[in-house]
Amino acid sequence: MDEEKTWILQAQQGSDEAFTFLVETYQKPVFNLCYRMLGEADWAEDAAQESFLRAYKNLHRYDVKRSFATWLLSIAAHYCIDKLRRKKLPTFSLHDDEGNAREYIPDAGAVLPEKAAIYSDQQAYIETLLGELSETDRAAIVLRYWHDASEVEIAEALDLTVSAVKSRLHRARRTLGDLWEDNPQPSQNMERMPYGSPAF
Amino acid sequence: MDHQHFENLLLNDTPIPREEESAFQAHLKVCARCAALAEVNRSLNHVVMAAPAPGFTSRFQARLAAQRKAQRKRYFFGIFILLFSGVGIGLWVALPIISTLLFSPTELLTSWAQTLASTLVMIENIVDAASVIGRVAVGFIPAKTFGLALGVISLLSLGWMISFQKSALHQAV
Repeated sequence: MDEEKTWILQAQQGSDEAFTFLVETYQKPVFNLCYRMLGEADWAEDAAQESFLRAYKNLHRYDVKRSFATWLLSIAAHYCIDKLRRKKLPTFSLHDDEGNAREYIPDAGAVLPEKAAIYSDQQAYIETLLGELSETDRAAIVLRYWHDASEVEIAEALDLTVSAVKSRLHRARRTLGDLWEDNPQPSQNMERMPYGSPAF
Repeated sequence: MDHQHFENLLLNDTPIPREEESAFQAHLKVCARCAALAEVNRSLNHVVMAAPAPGFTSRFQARLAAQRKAQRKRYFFGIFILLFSGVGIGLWVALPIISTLLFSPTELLTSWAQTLASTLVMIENIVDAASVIGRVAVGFIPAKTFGLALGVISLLSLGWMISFQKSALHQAV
């Protein structure tokens, strides 16, 4: 951690090498957050790059007493939430235009550019269900489960109170539970999601 | 144990106490709602991280370099526009003065002296008018009202400064 602080201080003084080290270190968590928020590898790549650029520009405002990871993920989360709100990126809906439950069809024919990572059925399915949550609820769930963030850290990252985070997590689980109950998980094995790798 | 108890535990993703485990498993067999919530929690607790395609850092460096180049371009273009317009405005203002100075310098100096004199007279008049208004106003507006007005203005200024600082801090995140 001390080493990281040194890199951050050097980056704040204008060292590109130091900032490159930070990009190397945090590329995976930032990309993962963007990917889970936006649901598309290309958009996630663009959002992650943009988040790092914003971090680079605002590095002088970063308070070294705070967690750098939380600060960085906060930038990425806000960027993705803004992007989703402004552009209304298409998300897969589990309901058709008339509001009827749609049969879940896995994208079995998807071509994977990298080594294919086979998720369990449940993991792939829960990621699809995430698209049904509101932007901020989704960010809270992703930070909680993919980044192992505490409620305090989520509150800090999303500019919410701790009780608001608890309430959002509660509501998100309820929504996911409702969706799971209405659309039981498919039995087929699915192969999807490029760039998948085991959690750290 | 009732449904509500297990549902609350599941909605808060709280571990099921060991002594309630068998009752919980039995409940899951008869309650589709809790079974769905349990599946959701189990899935969420076994997620995997997505990693970017190799070369992310190189792509970032290229993007940063491109942005810096564009920024430099904008900077130089801005400086050029500023200089060009500055020189243009300067010439536009200075040319009549220079021509007058060359052809009739006495006339120019006289007009400057007149302008200076009229400005001084105007300032003197404003000061006189202000002192008269001040004397009259103090006569019929009580000192407390002045104090109150000043206090309100100070509070409004303070509120404006605080809100400005808050918005600046918010943007800094």
